[in-house]
Amino acid sequence: MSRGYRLLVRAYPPGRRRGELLDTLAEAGRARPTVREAVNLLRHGLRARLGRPASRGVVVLATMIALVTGFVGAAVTTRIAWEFAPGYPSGARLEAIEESLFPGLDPSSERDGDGLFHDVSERSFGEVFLRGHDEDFAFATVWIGPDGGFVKGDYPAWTAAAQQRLVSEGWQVSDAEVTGATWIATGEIDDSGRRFTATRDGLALTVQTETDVVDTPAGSFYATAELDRLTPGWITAAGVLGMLVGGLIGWLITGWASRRTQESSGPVRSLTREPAVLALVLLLPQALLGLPAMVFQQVSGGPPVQPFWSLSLTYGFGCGFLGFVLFAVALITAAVAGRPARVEVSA
Amino acid sequence: MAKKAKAMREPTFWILTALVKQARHGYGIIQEVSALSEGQVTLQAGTLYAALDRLHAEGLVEVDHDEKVDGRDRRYYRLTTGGVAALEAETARLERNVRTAATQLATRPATA
Repeated sequence: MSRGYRLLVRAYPPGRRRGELLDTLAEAGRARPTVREAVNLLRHGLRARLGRPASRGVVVLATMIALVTGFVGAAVTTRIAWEFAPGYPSGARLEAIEESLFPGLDPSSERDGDGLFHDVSERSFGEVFLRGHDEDFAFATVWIGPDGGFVKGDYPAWTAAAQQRLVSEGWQVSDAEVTGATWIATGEIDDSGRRFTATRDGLALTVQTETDVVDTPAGSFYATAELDRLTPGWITAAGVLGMLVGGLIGWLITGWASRRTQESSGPVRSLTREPAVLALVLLLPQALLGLPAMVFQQVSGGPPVQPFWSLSLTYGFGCGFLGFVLFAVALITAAVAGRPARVEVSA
Repeated sequence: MAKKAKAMREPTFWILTALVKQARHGYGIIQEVSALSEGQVTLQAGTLYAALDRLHAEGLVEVDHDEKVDGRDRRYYRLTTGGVAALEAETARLERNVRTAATQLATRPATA
């Protein structure tokens, strides 16, 4: 029997079913699995992992748990992967960007977070574990501005000149858009500023000019630029891989718990099922919001403001924490009170 | 009110039919289904065992005996009385359907 078949039958839970399948395939004279056969064995093997063959509910439950664990897997892998992303420019490289933006204006820059992220309340790891992050939790960014914040002159003309300078230095520059307050009656924008973006070498600049900032001197405007990192494609790829691995782990753990409790008493089954369902109520919405956000961040082409899993560590932290406690209750019940599925012996 | 009988999936129908005369093992069922259906149904191994697991959980088939052949595990399955009843019910349902369709076709106006 080929190694391919031996690998494929491992999709099934440990037990004599693997041997039965190999016997059937050997008798049928199968030497190497076709794609159709491989898909068939994987599909039914993963279903067999869940036990309770006549139940559709267990498949729905396992799918939802796999979505949650897939989301967690994607979040963990992208969080780790970002540690290996190229850092922000510093020294002469950063000074060159500052000078391109604000030549002759004694520009300076300031980073709003020491590490990968910015958290106003600067919570320690222990505090984050117990309370999550502050609501403004986001990727750390670098703010660049001229000395004093204001620039003398005409902001549309300055914006056009800044775009030209950046283009000449190899930046991909977007069109400038008009910014300002919106007149409710007409829906028109009260032109009081300009904004454009520029990207180069995995970096993104968002340049903004405004005339309605408090204390703006006459004949001047406020100007600032935000420097962010774009998400490298390999980080998204790591996230997708983490999602698949996380989803598979969630599916297999659900199967283990389901098989262990399928012949247990009513209270044991309840203590496994009900906490898991309640945990899903708390966690599934976060996964359903977070996974599309991961995709959107990649396709939008702009820099990520917050990581796609930020909701889970800010507003959703309490729900998430309770959800994982409930999952733990279900698993501990299955481990302690459940028992391995009975192997049927022939008459 | 009596519970409405649910239509059986085709692989399920043929697996139960293949087990009517005697207990069979996995490949034996695949061969018998292929022969009885005149080659119309070819069961994949994964599909067969998923169906057997479900039929076993529903009490329609049970393990007859185990064998070891050339070091390989082989298990034989047989119909339970519940399995026989389910197959009879499905056969009756299909017969009714065929009768109705045949009657309708017989009354179809001739086309020019």
